[in-house]
Amino acid sequence: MLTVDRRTFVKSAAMAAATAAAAGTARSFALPVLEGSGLRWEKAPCRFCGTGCHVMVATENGRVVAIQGDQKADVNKGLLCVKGYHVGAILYGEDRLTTPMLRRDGRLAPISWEEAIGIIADKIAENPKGFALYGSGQWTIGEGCIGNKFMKAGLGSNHIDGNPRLCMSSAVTGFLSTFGVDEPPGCYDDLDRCDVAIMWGNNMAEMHPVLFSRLVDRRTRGQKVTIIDLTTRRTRTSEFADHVLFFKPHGDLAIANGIAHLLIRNGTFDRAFVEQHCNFRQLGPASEDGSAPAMLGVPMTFDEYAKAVEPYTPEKVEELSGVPADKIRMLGEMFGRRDVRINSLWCMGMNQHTRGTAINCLVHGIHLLSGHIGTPGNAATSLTGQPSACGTVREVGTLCHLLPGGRVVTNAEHRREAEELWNVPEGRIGATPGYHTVEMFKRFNTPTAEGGDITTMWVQVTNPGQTLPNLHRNFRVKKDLADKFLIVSDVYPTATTELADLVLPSAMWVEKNGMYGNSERRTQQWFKMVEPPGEARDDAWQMIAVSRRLFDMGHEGMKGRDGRWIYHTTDKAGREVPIWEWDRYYDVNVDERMFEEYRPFTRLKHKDLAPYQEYVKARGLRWPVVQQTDGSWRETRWRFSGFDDPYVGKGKDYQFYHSVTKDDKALIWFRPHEFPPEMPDAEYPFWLCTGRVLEHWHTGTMTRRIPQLHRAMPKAYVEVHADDAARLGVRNGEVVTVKSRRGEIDLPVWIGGRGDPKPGEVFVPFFDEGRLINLVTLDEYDPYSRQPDYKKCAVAIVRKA
Amino acid sequence: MSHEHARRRFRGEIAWTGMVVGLCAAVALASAGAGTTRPMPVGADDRAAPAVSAAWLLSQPAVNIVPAERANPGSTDDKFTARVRSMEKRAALRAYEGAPPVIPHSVGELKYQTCRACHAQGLRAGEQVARMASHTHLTNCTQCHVAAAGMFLGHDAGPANSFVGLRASGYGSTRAWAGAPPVMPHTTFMRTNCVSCHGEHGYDGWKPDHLDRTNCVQCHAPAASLDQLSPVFGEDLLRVFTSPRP
Amino acid sequence: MSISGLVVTLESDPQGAERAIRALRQDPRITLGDRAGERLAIVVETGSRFEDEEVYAALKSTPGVRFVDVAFVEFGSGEEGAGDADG
Repeated sequence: MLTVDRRTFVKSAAMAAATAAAAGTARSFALPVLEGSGLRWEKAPCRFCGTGCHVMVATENGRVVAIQGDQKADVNKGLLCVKGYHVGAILYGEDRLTTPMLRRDGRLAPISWEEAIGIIADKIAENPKGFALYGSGQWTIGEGCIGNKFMKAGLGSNHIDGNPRLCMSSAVTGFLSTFGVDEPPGCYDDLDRCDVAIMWGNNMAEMHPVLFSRLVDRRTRGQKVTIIDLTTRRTRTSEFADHVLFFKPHGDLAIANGIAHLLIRNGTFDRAFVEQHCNFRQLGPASEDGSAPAMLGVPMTFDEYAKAVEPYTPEKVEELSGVPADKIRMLGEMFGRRDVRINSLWCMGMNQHTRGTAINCLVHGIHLLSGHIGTPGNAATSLTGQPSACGTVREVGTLCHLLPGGRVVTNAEHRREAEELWNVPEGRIGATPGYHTVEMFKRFNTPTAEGGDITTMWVQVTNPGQTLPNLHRNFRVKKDLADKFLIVSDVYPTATTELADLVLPSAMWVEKNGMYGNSERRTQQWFKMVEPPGEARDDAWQMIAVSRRLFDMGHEGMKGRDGRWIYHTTDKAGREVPIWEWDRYYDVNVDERMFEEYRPFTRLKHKDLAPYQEYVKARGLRWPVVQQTDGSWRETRWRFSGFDDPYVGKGKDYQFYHSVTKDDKALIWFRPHEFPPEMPDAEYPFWLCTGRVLEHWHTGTMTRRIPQLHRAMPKAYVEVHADDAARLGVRNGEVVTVKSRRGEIDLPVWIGGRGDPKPGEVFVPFFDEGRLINLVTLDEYDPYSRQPDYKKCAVAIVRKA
Repeated sequence: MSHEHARRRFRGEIAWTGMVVGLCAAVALASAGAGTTRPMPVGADDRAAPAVSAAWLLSQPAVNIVPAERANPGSTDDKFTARVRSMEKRAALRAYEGAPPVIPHSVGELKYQTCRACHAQGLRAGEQVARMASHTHLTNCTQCHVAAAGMFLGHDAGPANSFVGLRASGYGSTRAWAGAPPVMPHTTFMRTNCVSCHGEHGYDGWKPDHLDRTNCVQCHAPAASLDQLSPVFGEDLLRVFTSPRP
Repeated sequence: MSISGLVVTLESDPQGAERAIRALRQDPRITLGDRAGERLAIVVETGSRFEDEEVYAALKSTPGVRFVDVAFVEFGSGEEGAGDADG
């Protein structure tokens, strides 16, 4: 925010008015009247989903008072969804956590920060290898950098993972398997250019509404956009779709293979593109110990590939997926055309899938096979659910097997580079991946004597007590285990703080400096605008303070090569700034320092980031952001495409320069249709799918405290098809028990409600902490991404006596 | 804000002679040819279902035209009271000035066309008024507007929240002098359809005595300290005065 | 202090327009903005409303200027906001 004197302000306004009038712009001109002139307006990305809308935040007297969509932002062009418009109210729920609290005799009681930091440091020092850090796709980039360094470079431990494991790790394995490098080649501009948008189990109207509007509003401008909704239940997205194709759970594998089959059989695949830019792959045989075959598979020839997809005739696909054969033919013919631009869009439907890696690879595969990739409008677009799942987790690498910038802990050269850039002694970083999310929580919820070797966990900016699958097994066992210690940093009481031993009150969103990275490779920055309430403090500071305490206790890991503290920070004059003291923390911009330390990591995989100050000026920039000869920084919209990506060799149309096969070619995978691990039977006759609703973001800890959103959607429900309801004899609104082999909860039945499942299927949203559907869900996961499948398990619907 | 308080403030503003923001917008605009009316949306939905395409076009709001005989000069005796009451009515549906209003009635799920049945053209049925949408090109209504209370799932106050939103500044001090056309005391982004609030089905006390005039922005300039055109929104315009001009 | 934003419509003859611009540029009270065809945006900053009107009158009689339109006027130095923001 620029502060200007009154005179400059008025002169600028006068010039704005005169310029607009002189230019005769249709907008007319703006004349400031006095209302609102006491406000301070600043930019920030929205706190909620992975779309990455920018909002303008108005503050007055130290409080947020209004929000507008940012008209300068490329992503949303001034528009927001109902959550974004109300995002300012997330700071003001009356039950904000404002003081650290320690559980004593079963109850949480206030303690000082000094004590709290000491307790954590002691717990870690006691058993460093038994300590795990569980982070988040809502961590800012700076927080991710600090957490990752704390664990991997400080403690020499890889037991750090994050909730994106539950959210988009199958998208990661899909990109890695196909392109050899993570994140989408395309961007949101593809929404403006495509002729056909295919929703792969993706209720975009509710989950990414601003992007959905970017698509459907083209129709009111006279453009033709065909929307194909591949779905298991009718949703608000279906209302806008030209074709609604219902498929059986897990049937997406068959549909993608069916499209490949038709492209080959009809001879309509893009032969030139495939010959120049693609190789074929399949999984090798399973290993003898029963573990899954290696993720990167074994080569296969085109002929072998063609033979593999041969059985997936439209009729066979109809049998497996439930989508009529003629509709499969329609899809196959559409992909076979060169004159339509096709954009596939997906989110949790494909990612929360025990064959998540497979379906991600298959969808990339049909786009590659048909050449529908890399030109504007032709794209396979993976959307993320959290604001910085990409920026903080995938890019900074806050997962148990990753190092920053696309490096992996198992690669000695990568470890050496990270040790060098982090300035820590060689050999500090462990070579074995740590525990992934489900494994981490399983071990924390297993008695230490029985192999539960994680004894202390620190959870930041996420709510695993509500989001983990099969909560009885993976979260709630801890309650009765005396030697387990759970630390939770959060802003409100949650299903996770309920079992916490130590609760730390955090600053949130515009109460701190931050950076996020959205679904289209866009890195965004904002500044702190208001003070956090009470004694709430930045998550980043909390980790820094613990690290400093360990350093002062003589912990070797918290020392760098030069013997100095790993977060050693100096001012302009070179004097050390004690950022571990809260009242000195904002003497420097720690966020900027961490970002600049992280930037050199991003070059290896050509995910170059610009200097921090460039992001201060911009409404986000899409990497690789490459400096031009005139000193300016240019973002990249289409990666691997010669016309836009500066890293593609001169004269080349496409170059998949991080190719698995090291020949600049992408991989087209064959993965068979397989049935899910648990299917309905006589005892549990219904498929259960879980998901989100427009009004609430994830576990609702923020949105349920916004009156406008809470009143519109006050509680969870179970959507049941009218035929099933009639058969069961349940009325609309009647409370029933939804029961699986793992747990049960009571929910009101909603027939013909927000969504409408097919007979034999039910849907329950997971936002309601009073009705935890994850007590019921299954914790089976994809063998490569380790992402659980929240979309399919078998349940029974039982009438209450 | 009580009526009495508002009334005092209103009078105070009339008497208030501190800073006056002046305007001779009409001349400037007229000569610049600005303020053209919104064109009729030309986009048609291309879906195969024939009903949608025709219905869609028909459901688009009309341009700002109300026949003279249906304009309503001074329909309320006490125009000021009506204005204040209308402001409160409007604010009651919003978290803050600029927030999308919540829907004060139950809504059926799934059907976006349902919204347009009443809100595309505006509708009055007895005491109930469905106002015409103030923006035209957006179709996913429930993206921004949610029911004030979940019809089916029942009422539940939920956890308390102490957010205090910005209120509209309302009427007053937006004229340069007596007789000058008032500037708009609100943003214009997504509020381009003036008759939504100021037309036949608009708010009491906000209807002008000249509804037959159709080119509103010819005389009424957007007042835009909230409109992101103004320099409070940042750096762009300030460069005029911080960098040398050719 | 008085600040106004004006639109000066210049003669279509380029030489006349140039002459007018040169004249405007010499007045320190005037800041030149963007030009759109014949129309030029300017800001006039003077010590008083009276002086502002003087400049306005002088502008109208400047050779090369066809007419002057007012887009924005601000005069007076009252406090900002003055309790208006809470509405």
